[in-house]
Amino acid sequence: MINTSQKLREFEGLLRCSQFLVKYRFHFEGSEIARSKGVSDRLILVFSSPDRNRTLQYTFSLGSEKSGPYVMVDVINQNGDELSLEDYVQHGDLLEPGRPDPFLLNSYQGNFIEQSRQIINYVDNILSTHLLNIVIGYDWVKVPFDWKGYK
Amino acid sequence: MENVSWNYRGTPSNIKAQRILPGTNGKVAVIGRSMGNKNEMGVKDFAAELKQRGYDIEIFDGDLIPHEAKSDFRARVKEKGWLSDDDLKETRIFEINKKWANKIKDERYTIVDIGDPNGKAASLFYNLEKQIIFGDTQ
Repeated sequence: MINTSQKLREFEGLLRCSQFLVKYRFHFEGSEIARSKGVSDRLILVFSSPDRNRTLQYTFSLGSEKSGPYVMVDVINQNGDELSLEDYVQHGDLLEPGRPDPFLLNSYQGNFIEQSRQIINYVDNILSTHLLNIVIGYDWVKVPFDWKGYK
Repeated sequence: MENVSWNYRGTPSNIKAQRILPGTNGKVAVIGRSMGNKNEMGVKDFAAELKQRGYDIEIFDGDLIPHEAKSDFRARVKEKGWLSDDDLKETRIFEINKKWANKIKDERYTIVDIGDPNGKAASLFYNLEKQIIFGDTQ
């Protein structure tokens, strides 16, 4: 059984070996913990590729009892515009019907490390297919912020 | 520029302004219950049509909301599934929405309220805007 800080370190270690990040030479810039009242602490990991004018920001949280751990990913361009991978997937109808939320670790089989590997592979796959031209700096797209019906 | 007092009443999206607070600074802000998405028309569609007609439009969406506030909101939804009004009041977006509503009122924007074109349940964000701008009570 691994504890909270070990899980954060494990996730960071696995992410830094991501095939996509390595292949496209996104360098690790650093990490920080985001803390806000009413929500779990989030580990923010930043990777950048100055040649491509792109930054990838991964947010990992152990989440709540209900959600379990989850990942959020944003692509940020040289103007500071951000593109949420989750909003892109939702907006582009890329979610398979009936499939559990692909950004939750508990949607995957296995222990924490196996789940982490699978979610990183899922993100790698989206980045290297649907979003490749955007992530490597050839293109950009604006995706509407998903208000989830609250506004 | 067409006369603002009547021009907002109807647009090709068939959304009509329900009320207008006239302003003086030449800018127009749009509020309403639905922001609009691929399934329904809303504030964004109405605002886009006015923008095409030459108005200087502002809505509370997109780049007006800092990245970290959007991220905070997504994290809360992810963790809780559904946010209560009390949960929403803790979000950074709610705080920033409140500042924006006060700003457009204080800076004398013309404010167009499209109401609730899709007959949706009450929204804490929209109620907040109506309260600040028009003095509505719940």
